[in-house]
Amino acid sequence: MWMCPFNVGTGYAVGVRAGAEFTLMEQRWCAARVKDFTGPVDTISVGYKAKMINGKGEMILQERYAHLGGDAAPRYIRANAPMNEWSEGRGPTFVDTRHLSPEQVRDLKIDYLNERPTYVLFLAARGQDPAMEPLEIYGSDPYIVGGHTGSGYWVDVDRMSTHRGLFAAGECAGGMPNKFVGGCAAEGVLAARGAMKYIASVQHGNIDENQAAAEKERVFSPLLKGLGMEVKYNIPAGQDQRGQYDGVTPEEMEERFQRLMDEYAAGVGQFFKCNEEQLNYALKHIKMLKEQVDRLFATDLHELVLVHDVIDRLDVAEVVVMHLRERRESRWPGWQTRTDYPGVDPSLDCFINSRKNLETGEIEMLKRPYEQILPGSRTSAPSPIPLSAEKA
Amino acid sequence: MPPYVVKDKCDGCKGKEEPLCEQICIGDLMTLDQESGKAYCRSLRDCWDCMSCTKICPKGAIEQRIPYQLGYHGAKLIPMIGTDSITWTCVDINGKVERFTYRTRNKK
Repeated sequence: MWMCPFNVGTGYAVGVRAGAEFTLMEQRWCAARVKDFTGPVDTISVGYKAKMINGKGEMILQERYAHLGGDAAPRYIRANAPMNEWSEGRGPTFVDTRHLSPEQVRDLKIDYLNERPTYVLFLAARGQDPAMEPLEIYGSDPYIVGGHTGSGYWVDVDRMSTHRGLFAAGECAGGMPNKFVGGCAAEGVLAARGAMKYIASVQHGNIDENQAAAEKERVFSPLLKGLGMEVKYNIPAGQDQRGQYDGVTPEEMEERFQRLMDEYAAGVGQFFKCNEEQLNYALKHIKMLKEQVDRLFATDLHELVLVHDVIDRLDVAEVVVMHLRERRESRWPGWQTRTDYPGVDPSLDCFINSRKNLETGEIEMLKRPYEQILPGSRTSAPSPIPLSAEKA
Repeated sequence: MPPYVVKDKCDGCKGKEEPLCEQICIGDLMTLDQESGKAYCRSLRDCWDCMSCTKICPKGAIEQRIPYQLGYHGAKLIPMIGTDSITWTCVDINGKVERFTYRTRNKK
């Protein structure tokens, strides 16, 4: 796991359910990562100047992506390069650390002990010395993280969403990729100032008791299912006893959901690629899962959190798949690749947005124009790919 | 990459409402087994490998493991926390020992 596994998209899900507008949810963050461990690669490739190589020992970016800028190619090109090598039969892929001195290997390990300590344990569990053997890399699962890519709420300058009084910053705020930690923190300040301004402009309202009661019911009902029921199934003592209630555990639903997304919504298992038919299949089954959400149950507070994790994931995933379907082109290969629409469509040089219609429950799609505020090239790479909303 | 609690070393942080590993785990994964009074990880597959529980345990009772499908058996990584520094001891599957000590707090 790379991104925090306890970050399940709740920040987006609350707005999806409230009908707020979202942008660029199709621009997923798919990274090159240390294979099997999913550890950071930039620490090595940028910090220690280690080049990406393929199974044949070719320097991937210089030899196959020189026309897109080589080492300076846009980030999605660099992130997708290892998976392209694998799908075209030139795996495995590595970052070449064999030029490192013993002191540099030590420094590298200390960097990891601070950032991801178990990576040092992982190397030890393989008996691997990075100065002797290059480190294997592979694609990560796709993430929806507005601090890296453009996914998130459609916000104004004060970071207010289209849902009045709901503010978004950092990973939640859309349309501002490559913010990372510093940018996210700065945006938190902007959103807080915006919220203060908004609060000063409104009167205290009254709490709708019916709404509060309905939300309490929604949140806690999975915990009450099966309470006090007799044991239905014969399960030996010492084994998982949750089968006593005839329902769905959050782990079961999440496993079904994760496999669905990987296979039908351009997961790493499909080399980040998808087509219209796969996406329609994903949508159909997300809807079926959502219809079964009322069968989820929890036996303690920890499991109750897991129940809501999977509910929130489903609400976000539906929007992501709708966006992937709506962008009928391949603008950021890897982050967004359509096998049925391989090129870039100039008419889609815009933001693809969505919002839930609260009356029908359907996700409705709309487009917003791209307006260039700062002059200059929109991509630093001398690239035949015409334009991209991100800066390389 | 789950944490395993060594039964003979863990005392459940007696006297505390919650053991330290439970307090620090951001995934709400470490918790107390009411019967034995000792801590355990309730969902090994949800662990984020941050090793916060391993570092904070005053008894050194938590060992971090790499699942066998990802790495071979016998490697160890043991943190020792000082007031302004940390020492990591790493043993690989061939028995090679490495030690890393460095400062974790700036001088006042």
